[in-house]
Amino acid sequence: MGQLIVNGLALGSIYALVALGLLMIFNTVQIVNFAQGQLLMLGAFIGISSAVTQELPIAIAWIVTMAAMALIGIVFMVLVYLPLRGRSPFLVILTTISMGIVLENLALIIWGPLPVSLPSPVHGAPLRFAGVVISMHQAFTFATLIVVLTLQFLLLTRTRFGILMQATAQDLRTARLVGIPVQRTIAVAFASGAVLSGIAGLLVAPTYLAEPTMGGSLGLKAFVVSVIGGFGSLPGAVIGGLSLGLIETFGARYISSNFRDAYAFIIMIGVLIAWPRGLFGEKTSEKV
Amino acid sequence: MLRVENLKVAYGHIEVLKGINFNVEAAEIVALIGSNGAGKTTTLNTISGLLRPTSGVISWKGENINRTPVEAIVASGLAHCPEGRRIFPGLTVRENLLSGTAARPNNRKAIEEDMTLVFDLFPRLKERIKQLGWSLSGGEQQMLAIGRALMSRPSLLMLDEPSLGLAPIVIDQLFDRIVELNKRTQLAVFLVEQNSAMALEIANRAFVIETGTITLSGPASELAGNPRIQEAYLGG
Ligand SMILES: Nc1ncnc2c1ncn2[C@@H]1O[C@H](COP(=O)(O)OP(=O)(O)OP(=O)(O)O)[C@@H](O)[C@H]1O
Ligand SMILES: [Mg+2]
Repeated sequence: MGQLIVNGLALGSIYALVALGLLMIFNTVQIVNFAQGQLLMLGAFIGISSAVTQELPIAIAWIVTMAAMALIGIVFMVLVYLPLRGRSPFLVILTTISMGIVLENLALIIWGPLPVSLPSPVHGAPLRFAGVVISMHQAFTFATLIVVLTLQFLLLTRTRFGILMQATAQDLRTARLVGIPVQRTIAVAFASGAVLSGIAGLLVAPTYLAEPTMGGSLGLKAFVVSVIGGFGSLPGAVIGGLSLGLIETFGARYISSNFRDAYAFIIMIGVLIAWPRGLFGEKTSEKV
Repeated sequence: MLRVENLKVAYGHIEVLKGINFNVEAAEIVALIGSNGAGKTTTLNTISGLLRPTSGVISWKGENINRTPVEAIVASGLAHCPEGRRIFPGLTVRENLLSGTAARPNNRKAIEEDMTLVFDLFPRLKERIKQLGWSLSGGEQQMLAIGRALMSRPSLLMLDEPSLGLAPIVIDQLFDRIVELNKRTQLAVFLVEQNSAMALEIANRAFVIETGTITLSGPASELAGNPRIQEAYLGG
């Protein structure tokens, strides 16, 4: 039981991280990036290329991956967002989906179809409490999620740049009018959204292995998680992500592991019937 | 300070501004008056860089800003308070004001000081500092939009129909504040209005724009006495 909770939360942390990356982009350009899971896959493979193929120390491999992901985020913006700016959101969303497919095929060509593993950045004996085992990698995954959530929250709500990012999301034209360098806020959003996905990839690969098709369902689940949490809300995304990790783990153990990937969508439909705006949906008159 | 020469602007093939000329000097209040669709908003959007002219010159503090990026224009002291207020609905009053500082250095102390000045001018905003933009009344939203524009430390403030949709008493208070600001800080104001009685009352000079052409200009008091104006814009 306790062990299932730990495993569920570790899996959920990954969903939460991808969802936070999704929100980074959504909260600035109001576009759901359905290639977010494929960005995660790229992060995992770039990590593997650096750490395994190039034999770089794992810490350096992490830094290389994050830098590469920031760059990929910008390229993604230039290829997918800029040409379609101001066009129908459906068109942009479709393009992100196609981009995901392109990335998947590209990965297949570069890295091949076989699953590969990446070492964890942390080593050492697992922690044990009352029969529950928490591996160092799981502990590191939780810690990473907490750090990322805190930094992202502080950036968006406590810094001027974060406020300007929010303003850009709410009204692009007026954002330009009041002097916000929207090109810059949007570039930072895409870069950091891709970096967050990359970090999730680096955290997934040691446990679940990396393969080119790993992104599709992870990206969709991150979307589901954000919807459950109330789209746009950071705490909502994290709680949604952790809950989904728990539900999948418990569901697989006590109900059926065949339906593992279906639980997410069943829960989403249930939550949306009960709370149409999601658990943490916005629209209050005061903000504290 | 601001000089517009033979400015032409088109949406696609339709020419909306057909070569207009005017100027605004330091510490002046200048009104631009015209009915629906005359080209007032187009004029302001072109000056602030959201639209680009097909020909003509916009000169600001002696420099041609025809192709200057919007944020550089704001940084150089030209602020635009847009039609319909356009405050950020999901940001608080404080955050909306902060968004107005985007084009200036992020100096906390100076920004706090300027925020205090805005709150002195519009105490209502201070009472609602944590309230989200969408939940403010129309008058409060207009105050916030002006406050946001002031946070960029402008030397010229362009206001697009600030009186739109507000009760007469609220308009009175708002215009009092604008005059007070102009007197105290020497801030130049370029005021676009459709309902021109109030605008002509507070302005030093005024221009009338009709379908993309400036048809009348002169001291505001003179225009207010002009029979053509009285008929067309002051309700007879
Ligand atoms: N984005 C646009 N595309 C095409 N035509 C436009 C656009 N915006 C304005 N126009 C046209 O340009 C003309 C001038 O519009 P503008 O908004 O400048 O008028 P205005 O004087 O501000 O009017 P109002 O008092 O109603 O705000 C109008 O005929 C309008 O239909
Ligand atoms: Mg207008």
